[in-house]
Amino acid sequence: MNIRPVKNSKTPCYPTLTSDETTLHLQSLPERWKRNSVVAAALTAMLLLAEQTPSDTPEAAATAIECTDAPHLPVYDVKRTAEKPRHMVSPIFKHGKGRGVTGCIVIAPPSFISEDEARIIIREELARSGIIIDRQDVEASNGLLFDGVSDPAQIAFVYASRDDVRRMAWKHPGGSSVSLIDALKCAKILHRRFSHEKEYLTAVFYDPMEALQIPKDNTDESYREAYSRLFNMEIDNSHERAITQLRWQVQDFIGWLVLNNYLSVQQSPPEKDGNTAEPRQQDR
Amino acid sequence: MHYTVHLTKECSMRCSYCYSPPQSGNAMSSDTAAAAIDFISRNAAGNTGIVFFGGEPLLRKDLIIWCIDRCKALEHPSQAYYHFKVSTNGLALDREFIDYATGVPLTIALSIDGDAPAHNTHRRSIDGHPTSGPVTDAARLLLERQPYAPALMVITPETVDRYASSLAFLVEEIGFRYVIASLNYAGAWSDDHLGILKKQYLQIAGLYEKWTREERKFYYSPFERVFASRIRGREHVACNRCALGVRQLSIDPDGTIFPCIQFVRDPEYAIGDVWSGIDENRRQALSQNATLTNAACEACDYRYRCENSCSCLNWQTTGSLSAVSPVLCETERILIPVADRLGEKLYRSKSPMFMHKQYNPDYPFLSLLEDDADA
Repeated sequence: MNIRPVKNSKTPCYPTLTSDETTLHLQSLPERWKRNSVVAAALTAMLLLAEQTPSDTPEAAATAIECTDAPHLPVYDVKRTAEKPRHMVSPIFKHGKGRGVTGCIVIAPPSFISEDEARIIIREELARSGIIIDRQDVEASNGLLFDGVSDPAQIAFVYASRDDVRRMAWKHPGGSSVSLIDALKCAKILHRRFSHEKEYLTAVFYDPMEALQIPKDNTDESYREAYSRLFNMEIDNSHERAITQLRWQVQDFIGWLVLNNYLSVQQSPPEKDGNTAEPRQQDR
Repeated sequence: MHYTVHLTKECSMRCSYCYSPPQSGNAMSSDTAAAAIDFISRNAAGNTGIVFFGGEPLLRKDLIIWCIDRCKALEHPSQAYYHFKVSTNGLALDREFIDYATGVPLTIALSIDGDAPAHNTHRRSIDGHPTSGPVTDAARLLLERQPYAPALMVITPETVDRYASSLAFLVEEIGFRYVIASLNYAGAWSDDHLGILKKQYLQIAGLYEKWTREERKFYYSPFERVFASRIRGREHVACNRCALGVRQLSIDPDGTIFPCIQFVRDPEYAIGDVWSGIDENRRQALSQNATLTNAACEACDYRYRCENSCSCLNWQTTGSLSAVSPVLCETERILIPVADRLGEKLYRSKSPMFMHKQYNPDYPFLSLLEDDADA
């Protein structure tokens, strides 16, 4: 036997993932899913979410998952209006897929942001807009805990961390090493659980779970020779991208507060000596 | 990142194709296990897999339990999240351990070569008795609690004529949903055997089509790998390559670190130990060596679709990390076109199960949701 390269082989007729023609065929469901009301409902919800567009109505704003590409600009002066918002829980601002599959079989696990790290990031972003988180792990009326609370601003946030996901939205079939970790789903569950919140205006953030993306190598090295180097670099890069996604979620939350007239915001110019003005916060 | 922890080199079987013959009195001590877990914990980043291996790891159930407890205690400080797996020959697998494993969760992968004639050809007990009976019983017990437990199936020249019937046995009679099937490339394959292999793959393609149309949930690794290499493309497949010593490491019973399981028997390939860590120069050198390609492979249309980059396989069959075995080449040349024709057929027929399994990124989630709803 010898090693014999295959040449002029026929390209298979079943398409790759990037092909558009597969989308149409996914609308045909296996009979076993049609018979299962839970799966059918999940599929319906997924299709609805995929087609849903942001709306300006308060009802839609309260439940829709808004997806924006660019973060909002940071703001400096924050003044609370006297009017209580109609919905006390903001939409979930989708930056980051928030879902990953892990396991020993050919899967590149996503990059996680721990709860501790996420709290720091969220507090930093809120502080840039004058919202100072002064308490952590505060019990809410529904028995769950807010990850952070600002009593002066009457704003609170929860973060769907990996531990929350493991409690609420982690699927492991009990026989395979493959696990589906769905932080976005966990955030939706939290969103429902906080929907009757009356005291704090609540934001729900989630772990973006950025996937590893091994970049193309443009050097003279062959792709395989550069693989291990690129892989190690990508572990750090994906974490940075995840942090950026989380920052965007918080910035969108600030934008939503402004959009709904909950916050009145004016951008202050930097001080003349070049120091950036500290964000100020008005008490209720 | 995955770590294979070899708890012992002892084994309760004497499989004739075993690449690492068992050695008595060669078990990992508690101190070494502690050092191994601490080493893993220091180097773990995010999701980390730990596979308990051997020899036969269930000869040290106590050590498995101890290691898992220690890992869980270290999860929060190390910011790591562990998932666990054990590969076993099944002889020591009992309800008590299965219940414990399911609660952890610890995935149990069972080595079973198919129906009794196929399994008993190579997998014998220490005193030479066939083991198909007890292993099949263990399989049924396991699948009651872990319905997705994988069957690890090895096909040799001596058993290739029973490949399709063995696969059907595992899936239809025993109820396995995951079958990880590997050819023993180090076996004495002849052209006649390759002819039989092709016929068997064609029969298996018929089984795969039948099960797909029945909307049965199953995973047969050789075909799934070929489909993924086409559907997800070169970069996805490259991302999931071994990357010798980079994505996975093996720790042998005395704490020495190797780049993969096959190398555990050869000190020349050691790249460190759990006390002093990894010799990065040594690891880089092995990794670089492993990425060298065979000139003939460079010109091949299947270059990014076949198993040519598995350094373990290459070293086992040719003695070189990057030299590909002609047997592997020949068998991949048979497998890939058969799987591609099957993929084309299922795609053209718009089989909903095939479409969602291969093209719907939410398929794993929906499949798990379905299992939950049925439970």
